Amino acid sequence: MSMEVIIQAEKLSKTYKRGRSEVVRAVEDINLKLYEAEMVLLFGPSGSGKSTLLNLLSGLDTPTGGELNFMGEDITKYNEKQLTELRRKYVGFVFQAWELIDNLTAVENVEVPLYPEKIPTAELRTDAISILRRLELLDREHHYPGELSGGEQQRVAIARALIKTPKVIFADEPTGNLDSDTGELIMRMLKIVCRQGTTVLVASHNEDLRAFADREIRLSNGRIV
Amino acid sequence: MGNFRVFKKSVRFTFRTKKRFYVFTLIFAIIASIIAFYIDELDSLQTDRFLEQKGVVLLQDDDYGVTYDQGRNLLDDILDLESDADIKIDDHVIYDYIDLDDFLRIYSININKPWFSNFAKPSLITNGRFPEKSSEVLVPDGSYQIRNSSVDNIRVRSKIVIGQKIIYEKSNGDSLSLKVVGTFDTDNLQVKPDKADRLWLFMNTNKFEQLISFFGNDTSDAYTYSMSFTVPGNVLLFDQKATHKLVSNLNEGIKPLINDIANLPTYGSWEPTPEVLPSRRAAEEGTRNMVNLGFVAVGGIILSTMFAYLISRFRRREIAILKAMGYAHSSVRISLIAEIVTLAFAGFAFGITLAQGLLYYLSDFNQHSLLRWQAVGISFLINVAISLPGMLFVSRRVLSVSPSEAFRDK
Repeated sequence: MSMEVIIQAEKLSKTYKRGRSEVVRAVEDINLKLYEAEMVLLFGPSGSGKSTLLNLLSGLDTPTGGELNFMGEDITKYNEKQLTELRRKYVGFVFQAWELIDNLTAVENVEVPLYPEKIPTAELRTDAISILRRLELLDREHHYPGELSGGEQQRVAIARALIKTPKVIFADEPTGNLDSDTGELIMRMLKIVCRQGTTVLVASHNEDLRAFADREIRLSNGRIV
Repeated sequence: MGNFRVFKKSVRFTFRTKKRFYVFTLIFAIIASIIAFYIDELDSLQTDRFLEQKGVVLLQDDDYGVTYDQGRNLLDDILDLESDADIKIDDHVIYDYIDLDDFLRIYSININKPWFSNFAKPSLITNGRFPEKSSEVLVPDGSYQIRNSSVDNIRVRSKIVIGQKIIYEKSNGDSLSLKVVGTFDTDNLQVKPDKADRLWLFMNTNKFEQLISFFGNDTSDAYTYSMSFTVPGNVLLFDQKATHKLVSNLNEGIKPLINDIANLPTYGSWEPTPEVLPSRRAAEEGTRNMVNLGFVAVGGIILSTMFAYLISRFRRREIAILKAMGYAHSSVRISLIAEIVTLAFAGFAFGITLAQGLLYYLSDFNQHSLLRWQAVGISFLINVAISLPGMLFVSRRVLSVSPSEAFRDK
């Protein structure tokens, strides 16, 4: 059975200026395909361009060269509004520092991406609680991020990404701030999410995560090696 | 539904930001109360300048005296001047007095319109406060109550003090009780009380009439002392030219009535009406006040922009998260607006409550010293109005930041 290509990049690059004349090539000549329901590890040392590539593929940033197709649409010419729409419909994020909103409880943090949508509040709460239950966080739903452990916060961040039923989840060093046991738990959960049909792209410099990935892409100095 | 929910939730979440909420509420409270005080001062409806701005005051001619009926005749005919399209009267108060016996003279005042009187008003209070109930009375500074002793040629002279109760009783058991709540400076009285003479009590009109009938007298035995009229608007702030014109027109309309010798039997004898505030001075003061108000508004806009900017800086990371999750600019802007409006509103409520409480306490619990609801209302509108430009400026700035940049900055 052929898998649907979700993201396809060809000769993708991002350069920016540092100071007056120095040009930094953050990523260069990137060719890759991400398929439906696969878990890919974007592996490389710090400064290799992982986060930049993640930002480009997810529509958080715009490339300076090459082509980028997202679900068959060339998004390189998308304006800010179109990129926002793309992220709203298809993309979920999990960050190294979780990036939860401090004055919202766990369940509110999960609901927050869908507040602007025309979904009844009660239905939204039911969905959020059901995801928290799947991630074994039900007893923590009314706790604020400051009252949760690192692993719990990261699970809330995963729940927040999942509530939109995204096509792709981009996870930037999702285990970076966690101990190895908790990190493993998080990766297992991302794997389950992936098996349920969501593409997961994990950027990390941690070799231990290779065991969870269906395949890996190695980056060095902004290029795939 | 979507953005309305964003607004509702953002308002709710603002209260949870604790430190940020308290700090910015306090800042907005200070801005709101300064503006309210300033508006109240500018509008001057509670100050000595109230009558100067929009009033015409008449005083009886002390050499002759004006009877109660003559006073009413003049009042009715002045109110009839309104049939002239150029004359408008907003409100009026008439002041009477009567000597009830050898030991007591009473004056009527209107405790609900304390600034209409130019002789017994809150700013002239030297001790105590202005009356708030009709059973409360004012006395001139250094008042004494004098009574005949049962021994011939001996008189009892007792000093009147604040809080003192004066009870008039009849042999049939009927009684009428008054309480002295304040003393006032007699500078603005046409004739000063003689300490060896009667006690003068200044009381609300209804109590004045009750006391007359309690002593078995009739209002036909009373005299009219003064009357005050006000026109709509406010010379020193809004519609300065139109209001000034109305004051002049009213003044000019009254002059022929009291100056015509033929009218003496009908109206009694009155002092000439004082000249109204010169139009040039009124215009200058009005312009100066408007300029000052402009400075307050500009200062408020600068301050609120600064605070709105600070709020958006505090929320930069959060805004980046929302944008990364696909929040449209309109949703992020609504979330920001909700926070700033909530803080401005909470600050306004807190600031005004605190200012009113402080004024009430400092004025020995005199409700006439409180900020008027009009000043508070205008302050609220200015508060909201000055928050808007700052809010729009910062929302444009914050929304232009890409989420990835904001994450990098953290």
